[in-house]
Amino acid sequence: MKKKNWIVAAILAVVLFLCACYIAAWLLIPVKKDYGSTWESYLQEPKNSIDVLFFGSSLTYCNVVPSVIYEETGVTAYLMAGPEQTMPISYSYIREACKTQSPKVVALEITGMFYPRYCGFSTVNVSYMPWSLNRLEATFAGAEKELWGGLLFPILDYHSRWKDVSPREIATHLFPKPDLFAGYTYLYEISPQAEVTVRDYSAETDNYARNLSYLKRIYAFCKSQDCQLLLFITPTKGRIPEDALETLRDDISALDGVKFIDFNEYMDSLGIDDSTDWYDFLHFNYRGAEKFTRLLSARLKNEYNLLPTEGEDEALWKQRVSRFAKAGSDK
Amino acid sequence: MLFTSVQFAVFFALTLLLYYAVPAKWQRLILLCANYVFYMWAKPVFGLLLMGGTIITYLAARLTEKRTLGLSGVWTAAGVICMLGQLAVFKYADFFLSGIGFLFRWDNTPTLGLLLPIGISFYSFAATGYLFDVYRGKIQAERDFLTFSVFLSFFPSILSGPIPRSRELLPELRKHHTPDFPAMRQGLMRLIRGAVKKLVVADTLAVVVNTAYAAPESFTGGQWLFAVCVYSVYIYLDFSAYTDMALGAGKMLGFKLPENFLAPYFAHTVQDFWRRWHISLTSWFREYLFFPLGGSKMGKSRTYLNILIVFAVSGLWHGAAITFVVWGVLNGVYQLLGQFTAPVRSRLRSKLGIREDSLWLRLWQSAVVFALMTSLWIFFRASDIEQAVFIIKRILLIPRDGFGRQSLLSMGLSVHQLLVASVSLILCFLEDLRIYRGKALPYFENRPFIYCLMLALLLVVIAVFGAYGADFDQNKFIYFQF
Repeated sequence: MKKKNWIVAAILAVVLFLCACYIAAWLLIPVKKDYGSTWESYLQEPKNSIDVLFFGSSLTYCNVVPSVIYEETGVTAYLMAGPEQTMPISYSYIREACKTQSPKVVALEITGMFYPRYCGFSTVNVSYMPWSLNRLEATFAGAEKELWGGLLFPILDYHSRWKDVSPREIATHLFPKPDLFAGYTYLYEISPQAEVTVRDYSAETDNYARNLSYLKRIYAFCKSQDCQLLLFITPTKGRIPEDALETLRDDISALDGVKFIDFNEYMDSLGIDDSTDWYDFLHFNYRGAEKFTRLLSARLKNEYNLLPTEGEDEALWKQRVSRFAKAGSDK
Repeated sequence: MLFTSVQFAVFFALTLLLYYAVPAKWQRLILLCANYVFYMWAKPVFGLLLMGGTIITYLAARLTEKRTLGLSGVWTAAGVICMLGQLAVFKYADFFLSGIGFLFRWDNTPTLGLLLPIGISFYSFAATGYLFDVYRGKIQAERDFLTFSVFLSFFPSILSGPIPRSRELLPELRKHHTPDFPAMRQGLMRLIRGAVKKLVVADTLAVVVNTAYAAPESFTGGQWLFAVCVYSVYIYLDFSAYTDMALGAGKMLGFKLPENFLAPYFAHTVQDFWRRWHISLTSWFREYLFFPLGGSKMGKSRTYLNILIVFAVSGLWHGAAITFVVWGVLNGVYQLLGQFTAPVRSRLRSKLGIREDSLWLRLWQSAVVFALMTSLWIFFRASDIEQAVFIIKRILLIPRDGFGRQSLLSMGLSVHQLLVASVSLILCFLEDLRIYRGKALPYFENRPFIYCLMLALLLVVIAVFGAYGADFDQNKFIYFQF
């Protein structure tokens, strides 16, 4: 009897310890409202209310404006991008995001195909994911080994914030609200850009092959979910080398029914003003992002015959439209 | 290997499993392997030095006991010279060379620049004490080399004590140890409590001390008064945390190591303080230095001289620097002043009608002892005498300059940290009060749910408030440097 009591007590203590640590870590992790990985607010979206889910890196969350897509087409979109989101992380994100939404289209900014295995943002990309097998997969496939400890036991990474965390932050974790930018990061500053540069990317790497395998897994997953996959490249002043792009095109063409759009080809039709529409050479500010998103909306509507969704929180989306319109004047 | 590291947790768990899983005759071998893995973790080469010291001490003791070649004292002396000689070379060579260079005004004083093997002061003293005990016939020389090797390298105490007594630990080592679960639970609780003390309280207080000593000129007298008081508490918590962890680990393996602290800041006099502080070292000095010097049986003046010698050597044992010697000598001076003024103070109390057992008197005496010891810890922590004098001046000039307007919050800790440190200090104070009153600390080792709940809570406190991880400089235990 006594031995049994000790075993029960020990199990309870372990459970108590783990629960307390995970709750503490959840309250101590910094609130994330922009620059990607905004899982907390994403999970506040009404279930199955999003038509298009966007993934990718900062090229997604800085350049695509969901409220503009809604304004243009009535289609609801949400960005679940993350800083330099690598392909394994994108794969886990897509799987996890599709647990609460049934998008008609999954749109992935595909520059990540040329990223190295780790880009230095694994902690941010993984830490905010809900606990699930997808998170574990993102940890083991997408994060550096030395970060695994902190990703599996986040208290190790965030415990030192106990002295900095404010009651407001804790309240935000306890009572999260939907993101009025739907995953978009509003960039106001202007940095005129003129020159187009070619980035040091190659398709002749082992990691490209690994990324391609994850792309195929994404494709298979989308197929299983009966949603279409759009792969795209946002217009930037830092381009992917032509030969690498050619390899990518060939690899994508092998994926049946997958559309690929390199929006750099449409730069002229975007009406981008190089002196006012850039934040830096890769990212638009809100002006450029709005212009690009209008073109993207048109392509989405035309090529996927997306109809304005039903069942979305219309008031919320109208609020989002006005929030984006007002954000510039708030600055 | 730090007691507060993940490596130690893994190492200790494996050691425990193996230790209790193997037959009796293998236990000492497992322990010896564990001792050397633990000791050689950071610098494997120091293991050779420890092994060399073990062989020399073992042989010297055996030869002493057998009176080989009709000699016994010579073999003891040879062993002691070897053990203290290696301590002198590694710890004091540069100190003495710089002293000689200073005396002869050399432009470039040569230095050996040797790394100080961790724990050398502790195991050298343990070995020396053993040799003296064998020479005096208090114990028999250990015949089993394995047992003796385990004694000298015993991992819970090798790095920072308590300095084990051969007559206590060696008989324990010869026994077969089976798991005594209540004792193991007590040990685990003490180990975890030590970790809380170190990671949550001591290392938080270290921020204030390190900030102050990094830029002494930047802080006002009031801030310095705060910093030196914090250091007094910090050094105690840091060292007693190590002791708690050492005793806890020892207990889990079935060994009872000697207590090193008995609520020292509750002491009534400086002499009383030294009966409660670093007890294993104090008793080593009493037995192997103070008594051989004549103790208190050779007249008052000789007794006073002996006290000063013991404290000076104690200071030097702590570190090869003049600041430690000054610290030691001043401790002796305080103790002597305490003895000189004791009758006067006693008469004054009776004239004022203050009862000897009055609570207020006790509090006053403890406060005075704390203030006196704090004034000495300044020398202990300072990089040199000039820095110590500078700090004391800053504090003494408070009546003229005031406390200064700079906030205590500019000393590296936030309000929240100060709050958590204060609450933890109150708990530590209550723990010491219990020890002072001679009551055992509760371990709840026979109450499954309370025990496990306590353990889980302590671990959560470490996980959340502990000073570990990338945002913190891992503070080694202060006494590692000695």
